[in-house]
Amino acid sequence: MPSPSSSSSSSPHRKLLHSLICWAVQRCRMSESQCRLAVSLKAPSDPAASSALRVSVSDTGVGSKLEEFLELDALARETPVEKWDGTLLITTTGINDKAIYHYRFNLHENASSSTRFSKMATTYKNNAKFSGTEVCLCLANDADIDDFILWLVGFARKIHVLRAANLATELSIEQTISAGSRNVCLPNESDDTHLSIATSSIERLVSGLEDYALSHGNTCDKCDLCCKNRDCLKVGTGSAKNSDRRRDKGLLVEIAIMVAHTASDLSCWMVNCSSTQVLHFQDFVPCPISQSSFNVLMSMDWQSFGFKLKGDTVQEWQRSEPDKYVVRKALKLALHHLKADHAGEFISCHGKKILEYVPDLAQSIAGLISSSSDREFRHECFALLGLGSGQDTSEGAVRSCIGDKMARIIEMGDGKEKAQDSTPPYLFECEKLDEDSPLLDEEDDGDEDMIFDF
Amino acid sequence: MAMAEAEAEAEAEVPAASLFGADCRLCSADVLSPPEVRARIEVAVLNFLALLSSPSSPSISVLPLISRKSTNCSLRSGLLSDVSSVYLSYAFCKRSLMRENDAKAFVRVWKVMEMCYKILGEGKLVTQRELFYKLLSDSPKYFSCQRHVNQTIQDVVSLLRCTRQSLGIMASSRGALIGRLVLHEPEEEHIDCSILGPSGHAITGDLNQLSRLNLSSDARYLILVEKDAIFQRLAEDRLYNQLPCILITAKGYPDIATRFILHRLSQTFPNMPIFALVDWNPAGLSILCTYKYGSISMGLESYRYACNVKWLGLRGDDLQLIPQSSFQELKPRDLQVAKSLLSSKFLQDTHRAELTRMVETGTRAEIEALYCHGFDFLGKFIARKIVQGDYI
Repeated sequence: MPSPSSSSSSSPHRKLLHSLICWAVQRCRMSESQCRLAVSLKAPSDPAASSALRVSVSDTGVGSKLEEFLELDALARETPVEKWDGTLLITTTGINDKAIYHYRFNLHENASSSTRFSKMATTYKNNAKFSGTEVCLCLANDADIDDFILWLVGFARKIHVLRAANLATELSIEQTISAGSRNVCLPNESDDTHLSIATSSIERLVSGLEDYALSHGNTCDKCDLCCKNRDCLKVGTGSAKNSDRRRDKGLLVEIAIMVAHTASDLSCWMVNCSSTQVLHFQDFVPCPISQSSFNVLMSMDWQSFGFKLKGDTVQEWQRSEPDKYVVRKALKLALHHLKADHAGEFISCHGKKILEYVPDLAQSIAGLISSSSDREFRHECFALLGLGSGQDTSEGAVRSCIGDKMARIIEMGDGKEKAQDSTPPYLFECEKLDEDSPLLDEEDDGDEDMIFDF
Repeated sequence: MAMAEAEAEAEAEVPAASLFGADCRLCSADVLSPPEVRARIEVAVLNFLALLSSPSSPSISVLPLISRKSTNCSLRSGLLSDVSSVYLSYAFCKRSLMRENDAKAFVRVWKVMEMCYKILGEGKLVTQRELFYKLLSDSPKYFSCQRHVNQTIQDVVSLLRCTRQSLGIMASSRGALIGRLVLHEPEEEHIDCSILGPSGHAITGDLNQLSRLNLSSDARYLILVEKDAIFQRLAEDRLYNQLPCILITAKGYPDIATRFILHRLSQTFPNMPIFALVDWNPAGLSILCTYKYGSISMGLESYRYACNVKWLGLRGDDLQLIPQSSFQELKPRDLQVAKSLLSSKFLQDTHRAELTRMVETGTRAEIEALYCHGFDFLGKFIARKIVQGDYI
């Protein structure tokens, strides 16, 4: 489950950056051509100077209409001036614009004030064709800043998980000399070689998720040990949409589930990713999961796929609620895809319990066959099992054969029990089977036969 | 008009209860030789493998077992004899590997079949107890108590429809008999049961051996005794020298072997009535009913050994002979047994009345209560009751 760090994830810095980056991403997507999103953070070079952090979010998407920035009004009002002075310097140009426009917003001023919005000097493009936006602002360089930077790095990396087509993301952080400088350039080039223009968004997500997993949730560079075992990663995907429903206007939900079966040599998985992580995106930007989607996750029948849910809490919710039916449908598809692609690996908990009995049962029957002095009987058994002459018909071979057949039957029928209405085959023909009452190992049921013979 | 209607009604009821009607519905366990039972087990294995390997729809087959529940139990009354017995019909329950709480029991059936197949192959006969220890050491995960073994054996009996002894398993008997009877097994010595010590002659659990016995007797009565202590008291007093009789006990709930020999005695000496001496409590009556009608848990074979047993004592007016202080309270377990007996199909009216009296007064009494009249009272008591015909 997404676990925000201890400092409030609803800190104004984060909300602000979240919104700015979200809009930048949407502008890039609307552009339908190769775009770049760059976020930079600069701390003053002189530590003794004013403790302001210069932040800029720039993109090469379509030009901004500026309306979205007004949504920051409420945030500006609830943010103390010491944390953010409410000022945004916006530079934007559309592809068909002849000039680049510069604006200054001061959201701490109210609407009637003349200093709230001012247009600054315009730069002419001289027939060059490009578009983009840059938003600059100053944030207080206070005690929480390290947590904020950590969050921002994580946020940018999560965006990168999507490997959104036509979007390159870049994050650069420069801190004071003493703290050092970091250029977190999200590695794009090598990863994207196998992703072509035609690659669907869900396939991109799978690729990004794989790299996310191999770098232990982006906590380190790609782990060599895990890379060697990348075949142990199993993926299932599902997507669903409700384009007919008027409410959500064409909601498309895509889900990818990635599972690593931990083996002894994948100990770094256990150390670094011991719990399940849920990455939730809306409009290609990471955001907290909604309550309804979380409920869908919790209410899924994980046991049919061999999973046991461990309870966990989520500390924040997203406000908007996507259609839970669409989410549920996509999740179901993803789980079924996972199960179908990896036969025998995601057996339901019920199936696993039954499989435990198979070796003993196979042993019993194989022992019976092998103990028989009746050659004809033994050969008939071998023939039925497909063990022809010349093949190994030792007790061990017979046991394996019987066991394998039983296991396969259980795996194939796993999860379909409820759907099947057909009566199971009986060992002997008989009429009038009492379908509803199997014999259970009960205590004496109060007949006059209380005591068993010795 | 009414007469004809009543007659027609009575006629319609006859087939249901008569021996002929019942026999089509009666499900029986066959007495088979070892090769025949092994053949049935082999068929079971071949069927299982065939279904497992079916090219179109492979499956793990389900075991159909004759239901050993009261819902599948009926009473058949003899047309020519006065013996009634409970029997099981063709209603089935199933054991399936695919049900989590049934899977273990399913595997148990196969394990016991495997064991029986081997036992029969070696020409052996083992007791249930011996089988339990063998299974406990081979498969402790599946057999942790005797009850598992006994229950599974009955499952196999229900599945293969053959008697327990046919499977090579016998139950050791706790039964004993004493009195005016001479037993003679071919090529063995004669055993005169009237000169034995008070613990009498131990009844073997091997039904084959019991069936080979030659029986000769000049007794006039067969007396079934519930408890060992009473049996020994009567044996010490040599009741059978004063009253020509044979005393039998199973020391509690009757096992198949004791019922088997009782049945053989009643067949060999059809003019010998059988009297039961049980405590006046629901358990005592239940023991009597088992001798009389058979049991459901072994319903596939026990119907054969039902006998016409009459309730001599302790009951009815006998209770006036007992001081009030000797009456005890009915326990919850007693009430459970009483409830089950009262709701059964076979309980005859006179017995039902006694049982109802127990429940209504909430009391019970043991035969030993009669000792207040002296230790030699019991013998005289029995003799008097028989002579007076005071039994139901």
